[in-house]
Amino acid sequence: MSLHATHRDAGQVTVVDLSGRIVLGDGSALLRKTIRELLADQRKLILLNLADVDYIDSSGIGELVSGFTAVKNQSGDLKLLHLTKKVRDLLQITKLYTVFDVFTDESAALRSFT
Amino acid sequence: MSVREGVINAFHYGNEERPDKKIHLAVDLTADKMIIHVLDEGAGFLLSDVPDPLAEENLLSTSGRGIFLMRAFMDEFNVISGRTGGAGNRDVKETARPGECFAEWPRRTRRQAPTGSVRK
Repeated sequence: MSLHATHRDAGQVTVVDLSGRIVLGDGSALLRKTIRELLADQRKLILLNLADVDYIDSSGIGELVSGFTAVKNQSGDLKLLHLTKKVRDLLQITKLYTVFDVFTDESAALRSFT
Repeated sequence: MSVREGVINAFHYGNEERPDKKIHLAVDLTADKMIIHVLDEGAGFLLSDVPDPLAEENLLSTSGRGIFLMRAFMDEFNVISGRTGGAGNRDVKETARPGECFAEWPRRTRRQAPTGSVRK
């Protein structure tokens, strides 16, 4: 299953709903394109909803980090919502769980941007 | 996860994404283990040259976690020499104990890894 991404506005925050696999190739490329387009549109507060992301490889993890630093470099913020167990485990063993702000509740995540 | 990362490494770092180079994948199934071999046609590498992705200075690196993830999901992990000079990957899953695996990777012995192409 390839990656699909849609986004919606929630006030100043853009919620990106991702589904599928963030892996080397189209998945990573789509995530990169989505974040870069949002930044170009001055949407710098981004919440990635990973509820339907069932797999992520090292390339996908790298793309999450790349997006995070790109947003931070533009004085924005990128946070994560609804990690599946697999993705949470990967972020924990790679120590990235402490780098990203991770939420299990969308309302709380949105409030955290203010 | 480990097989995928192994093949990605072989393709990207070993064969440098050259379509004329092959990746060899083989699986040996024994009574208690599943052994997976991945062999590329690249220069090979030394495991000791691979940066630690958990080091503070590497945490925000956008690459360099492939081998780390392989090791994380295996019981053992090694690098061994490929017969053709490339690097190969040998993963073993102990089927008698589901979820526990070990891996061996071929160690490069002939040449130094190309600059800028450190195996991740």
